[in-house]
Amino acid sequence: MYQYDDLDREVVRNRVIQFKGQMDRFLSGELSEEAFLPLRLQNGLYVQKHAPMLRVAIPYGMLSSDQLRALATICQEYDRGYCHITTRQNVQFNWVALNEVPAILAQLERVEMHAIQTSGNCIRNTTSDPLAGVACDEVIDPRPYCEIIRQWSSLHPEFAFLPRKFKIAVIGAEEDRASIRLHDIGLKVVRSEEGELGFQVWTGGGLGRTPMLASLIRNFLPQRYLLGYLKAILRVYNQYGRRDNKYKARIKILVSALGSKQFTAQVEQEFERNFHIDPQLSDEEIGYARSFFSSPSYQILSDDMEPIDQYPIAYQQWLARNVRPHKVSGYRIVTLSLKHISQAPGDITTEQLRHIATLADRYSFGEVRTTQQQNIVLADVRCSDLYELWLESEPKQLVTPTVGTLSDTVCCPGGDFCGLANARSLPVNTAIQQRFSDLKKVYGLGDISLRISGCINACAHHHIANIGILGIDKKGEEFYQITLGGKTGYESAIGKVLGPSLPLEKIAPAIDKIIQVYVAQRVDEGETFSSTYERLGKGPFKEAVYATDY
Amino acid sequence: MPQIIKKGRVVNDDWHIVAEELAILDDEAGRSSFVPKHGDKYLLPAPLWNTFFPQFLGFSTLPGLLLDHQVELEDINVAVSLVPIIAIRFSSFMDGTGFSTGALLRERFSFSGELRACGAILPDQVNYLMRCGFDSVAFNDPHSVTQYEKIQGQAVEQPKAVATDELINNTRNSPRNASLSYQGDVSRPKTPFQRRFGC
Repeated sequence: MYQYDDLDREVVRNRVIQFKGQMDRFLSGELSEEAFLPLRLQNGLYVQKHAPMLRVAIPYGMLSSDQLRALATICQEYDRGYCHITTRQNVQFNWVALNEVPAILAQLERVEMHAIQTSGNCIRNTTSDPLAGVACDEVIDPRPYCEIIRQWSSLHPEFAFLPRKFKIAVIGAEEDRASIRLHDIGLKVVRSEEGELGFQVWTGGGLGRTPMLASLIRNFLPQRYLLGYLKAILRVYNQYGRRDNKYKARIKILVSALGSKQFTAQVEQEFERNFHIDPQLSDEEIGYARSFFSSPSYQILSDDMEPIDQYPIAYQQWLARNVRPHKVSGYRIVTLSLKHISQAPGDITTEQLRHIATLADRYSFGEVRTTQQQNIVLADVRCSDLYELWLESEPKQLVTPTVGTLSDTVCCPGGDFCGLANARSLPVNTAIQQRFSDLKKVYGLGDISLRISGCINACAHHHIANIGILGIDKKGEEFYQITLGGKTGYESAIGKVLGPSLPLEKIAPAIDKIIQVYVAQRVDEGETFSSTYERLGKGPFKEAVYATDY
Repeated sequence: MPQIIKKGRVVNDDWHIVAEELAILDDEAGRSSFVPKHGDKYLLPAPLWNTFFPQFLGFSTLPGLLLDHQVELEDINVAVSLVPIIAIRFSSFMDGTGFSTGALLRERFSFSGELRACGAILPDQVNYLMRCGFDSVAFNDPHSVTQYEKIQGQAVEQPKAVATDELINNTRNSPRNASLSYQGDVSRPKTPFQRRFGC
C-alpha cells in the first residue's frame, strides 16, 4: 500500500489548513455562500437534507487497518456511529456538523487520508479493480498508475474548475471490475506485442441523464506518456466542454457532439504539441510507484481445502458466494458483505469498522479494499483461516452470503438522506428484499445485479445493472423507472427502460414478475438473467409487468 | 488607481481597459471616440486591437490584449507575439477555461510578457492561476484584494488560535510552503515522483 512521504504530508496538511481558513471566512460571512460552494465541494463537503455530508477519498479503494480505525473514531465522535461506502469506493459521513469538518480533516490527515476532490467539477478520486494485485486474471497491477494519477490530479492548477465532474478508472485485468467504460476516462493496462507496457484509453463514458459507454480513442499509449495524454484530454475538455447547461457539460457530450474520431484528432493534436514540454514518466519512477504494491510475504501453501461438509451450511454458502480464488496457492479473496438486512446497503458501523480492522490485521496483512458493490474485501486470507474468519465475522453481521446475487443490492442513500434525490431508494430495496428473503430462491437465480438510484445522478449506477431502478419525482410523488439489460464486467451495456414508471408499492411486485419471467423462460439454470434478457428482449418482461395490473 | 495582485504582492495598476462599446462609438466625422494618449497604458479587446494598433506606432508602450477566456488563440497569434501584456477575462469563478488559455499562451505560444487574469476570480484561485503561468490578477470585487492579503498573511504569520478544535490549534496554522505540489507549474512542470526517491 502507498505510504506518504514528506511531500504528500505537506500537500495534504496545507489543504487542511487552507480549508480551515475557507471555513472560517465562510462562517464569519467574509466568503459568500456562492463562492464557498466550489471550495467546499472540492473538499468533499455537501450541504444535504438533514446535515452536511462529507465524502472522504479512499484512493482506488485501499485502506489500512489504522485508517479503518480512524474512520471508526470519526463515526463515533463526529457522526452517528456509522458511515457509508459509495459506489466509487469512497466513504461518506452523513451527519457531520459543518464547523467540525476542519477537525475531521485534521484527524484524517494523521492517517494519510483526505477529502480532496471527492466532489465538485474537478478530477475525482481514481477508482480501480478492488481485486488488484490478487486477481487470477490480472495482467498488471493497476494501482501504481492509480497512485501516480492520484498525485498528478490532486490540486492540479489547470483542471480544478472544469465544466463538470471528471472521473478516471484504471484496470489491469481481463474482467472489468471497475466499469472503465462508464468513466470520463477509462484506462486498461495492456502489453504491446513487443512486450511494452501501456494503456488502452477509453473516453466519454458516464451515467446520469444521458448514459453513454466510453469510446476507445487510443489502442496503445506507452506508459511513459500517460500524464501528457491525460492532460491533452482534460485540456480539450476544459476548452470545449459545454458550460451553458449542466446536463450537457460532461465530456461524454463533447465526445458525442464532435464524434469520437474528431475528438480523438483534437486530443492527439494537443498531445503532440506538448510532446516535448510534458515531462514523461521514467521507468524508475514507475518502478518506484510499483514498489509500494509488491506482494505481501505470502507463505508457500497448498491450495487444497478440507472437505467442507463437516461445517455449518451457512459457512458453506458463504464459501460459495463470498470467497473467490486467489492468484497465490493457499490463499483466497474474501468479501465481507455490507448487505445485511438490518442495515442499508453499504452502511458500516463504528463497531464493524473496528472489527474489520482487527480481522485485517489478523488475517489479511492489515489491509482491506472497498468495492464498487459497496462491500469490503479482505484480499489475502489463508485457506486455513477461512473458518475462523467466518466465525469471527458472523456476530458482526458481515457474512451475509449473497455476493453477486439479487440481494447484493447497490443502493444510494436516496431521498432519506441526499439533498439531490427525487425519491427514496432504501424502502424500495427493503420491499424487494422482503420478497426474496429465502436464500434458496435467491441462489436459484444465480448471478444477477440490482441497483437502485434515488435520482438521475445515478450514484448507484442503475444503468449498468441487470435490473436497475431509478427514482423520479412526478408532481411531488415518488415514482420509479425500471431498466433491464445493463451489464458490466467482461462486457458493458446500458440498460433499457422497461416502460412507464411505477409508484413505490408496485415496484417490488414488478421485480417479482420480472424474475418469474426469467425463471420460466431460461433455457436451463445455467442461463443468466442477462443472457435470457438478451435472447428474449424486453417484450415478455414488459408484458408481465404492465399487462394486467398497470 | 486600482489595486491588483502581481507576483504575490498588492500593487497599484495603471493599465486601462478600453471598453468595446466606447471604442466603436464613432462621431459624425467618422472618428472613433478612442484616441490613445502617449504614456497611457491600454488593454484592448481582441477585436479592436487590430483596428487601433497602427495608432500606437511610435508609442513607447504598445496596447495589451484583453481576451475573452474562451478565445481561439490561433486566430490572434500575431498580436500575441507583439503585445507586452495579455489579460484574460474570467466571466465566472466557476468557469475554468481561462486556466487552460493561460497555460497554452505560455506553453504553445511561448508568450513571455505579463499574463493577467481579470474578472470574476476568487482570492482562493490565485495560487492556481500563478501555477498556470499568470503573473497578475485583477479582481472584480475590491474586497478580494483584502481577502487575498489575509490568506497570504496566514501563510507567513504565526498561527492565531481561533479554532475551537484543539487538534487544529496544536498543528501549524499556516501552510509552510503552499507552492509545494505534485505537478510543478507551467514553467517547471514535473511528474509527481520526480526527485522524490534515491535513484
